[in-house]
Amino acid sequence: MSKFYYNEEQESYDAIVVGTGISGGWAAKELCENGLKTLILERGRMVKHIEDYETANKDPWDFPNGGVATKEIIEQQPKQHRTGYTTSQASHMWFVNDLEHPYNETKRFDWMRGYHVGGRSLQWGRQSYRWSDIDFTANQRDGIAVDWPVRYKDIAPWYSKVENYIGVSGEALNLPQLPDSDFLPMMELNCVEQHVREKVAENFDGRVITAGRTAHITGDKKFDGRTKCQFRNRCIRGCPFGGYFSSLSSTLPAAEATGNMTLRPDSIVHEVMYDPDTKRATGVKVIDRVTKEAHEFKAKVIFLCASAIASTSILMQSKSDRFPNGMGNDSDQLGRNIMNHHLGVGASGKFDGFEDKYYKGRKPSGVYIPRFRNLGGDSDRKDYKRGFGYQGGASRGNWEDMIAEMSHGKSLKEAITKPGGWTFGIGGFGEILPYEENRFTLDYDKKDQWGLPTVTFDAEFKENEYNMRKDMQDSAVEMLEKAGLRDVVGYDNTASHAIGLGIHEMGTARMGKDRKTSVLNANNALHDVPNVYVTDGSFMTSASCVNPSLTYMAFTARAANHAVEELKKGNI
Amino acid sequence: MDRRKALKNMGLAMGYTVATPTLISIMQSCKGEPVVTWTPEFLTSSEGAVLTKVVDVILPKTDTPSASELQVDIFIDKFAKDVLEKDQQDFLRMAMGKFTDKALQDSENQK
Repeated sequence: MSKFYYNEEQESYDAIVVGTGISGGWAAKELCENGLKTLILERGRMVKHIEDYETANKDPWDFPNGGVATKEIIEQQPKQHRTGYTTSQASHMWFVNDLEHPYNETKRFDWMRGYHVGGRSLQWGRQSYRWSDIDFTANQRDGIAVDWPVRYKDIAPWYSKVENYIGVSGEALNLPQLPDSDFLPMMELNCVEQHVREKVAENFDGRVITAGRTAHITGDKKFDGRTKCQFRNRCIRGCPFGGYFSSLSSTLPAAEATGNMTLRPDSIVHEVMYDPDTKRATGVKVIDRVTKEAHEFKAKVIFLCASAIASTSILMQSKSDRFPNGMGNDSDQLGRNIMNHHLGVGASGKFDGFEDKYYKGRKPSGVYIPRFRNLGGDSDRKDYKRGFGYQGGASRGNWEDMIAEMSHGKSLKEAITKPGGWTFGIGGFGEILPYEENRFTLDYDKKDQWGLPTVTFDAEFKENEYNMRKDMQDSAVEMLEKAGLRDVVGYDNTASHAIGLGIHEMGTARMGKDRKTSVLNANNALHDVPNVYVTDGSFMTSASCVNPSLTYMAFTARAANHAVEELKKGNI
Repeated sequence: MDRRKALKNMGLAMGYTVATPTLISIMQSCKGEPVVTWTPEFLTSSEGAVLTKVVDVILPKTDTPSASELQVDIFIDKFAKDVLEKDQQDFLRMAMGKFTDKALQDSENQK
């Protein structure tokens, strides 16, 4: 069977996109819709929307052992298991086998990967937030790293374009630190979430609790091939309704519909080829995942959307006389400034009241508390820079509450069929600063089964992150107590003191104005090879505290349209 | 009282915490019945038989089925084998052993 889907193999292409996730899907859609014959390369297996979501309609009792990760799964996926939730029987197939895809940790780094068509857009958290100029100017203001070459006004129209295509539910608040998206109707808060929202507004000047802004279809707007969110909260398994955005449900079908897309799964890209005469990239080198055969594919423009670490690894391996240390790496910034969001810190408490209230369905999102630190005036902190937001929610307990009770018999049976008490909890998502020494390198002594060098991480939190975490916990406890919750308990999981569990790898090929200190220009192209674009998390110059996927999509759409214009002008 | 703590106490300081007619009835009710109607994969056959009784003490048949009718005992045994870590498995074995011994002993004392 042909490895090529949707079209036959061609001698050369207008564009090649490496990766099929959040960023790759958008590059594919925009390039194909602009008429470019585009080859999409994905290192993992083929996945077909809906038909390959094998666990999507399973109930807990359909899985052996209640669906939890068995020892057999954990032996294959010991690092993917570090989240505590990804390796359940419902979702472990969307995360890599660590034995087949090893990496090294000088310092612990939790690298969660999904190698399949659709990438991590299939199992992402779907939280979608715009950046503001407070984020884009942060490095300049603090004198940290380098300034972003982009401001909010440059990216705002692309946010709108993306939001109107993918659908983002949320509530408009007109906050300077968190610009509103073009929203679909917000997901309703339940009664305790609403109560806490009112109490926090009464007690804390300017602090807001709102619905999580999520890439789910709510309301009556129509989307091609997708239907409204069904409130099943089984998103991580793949959604047969297309209720949330993934490249499988949304951007890849749009690219396919143009007739311009050719997709080749099982294609591990390891090098971008360079022509020193034209000073342009000419194509990519690929190893077939299954047959291990080598292939080369040629194109006029290359988009690397393989995820932050993977795209930068490809550039590092793309060595030539012109680029002995990796393509576009004159600045020695490739692999540096690894960022993510730090989490696993917050508070929860119990709520007395609303015993007669419940909620309908399984809301796949909760509440969001936008950043309220270091925004000027009283909000400024001396002990750390930047800020954090919280995600959380309220729910009623279930039968599991009774596990701890020393009761049995008929009375226990009666108790476990009634809803338990209300709890409300929030967990922080904090910004990690870009540090040059937080980096990864390639180890050519430890190669994988395809003969490619493995990634070695050497990155850690520093004082700014630890100081912020103290405030993340203290502020959570303070807010919950003032909101009238009882038995409020703060937490700061030490397992979250390593980088990675945010699953938002950023940096390693940062954007900047100056080619001496950055890898990419303001349009996501390499300073020194203008037909190579990198539009996944690797371009991020700083991290903000909000979930990054919406920003990757907006920058990808912008970069793809830039590439189309440059091709038309004959510049690349 | 916390069930987890109670089980732990049972294991570590057996003989001082739990001795109830219910436990005694477990052992007494075993008499004259088939020892076990399923083959445990993790527990021994006699431990499996005790487990079947224990889950039905916790969740007996009422107007809804009992735990063993829903094969909760079989689920627990399989879960212990496929999911529990070695130290958790060892603890379960130890606790089951002590529990059975204690219940038998109390049962003897009743006579």
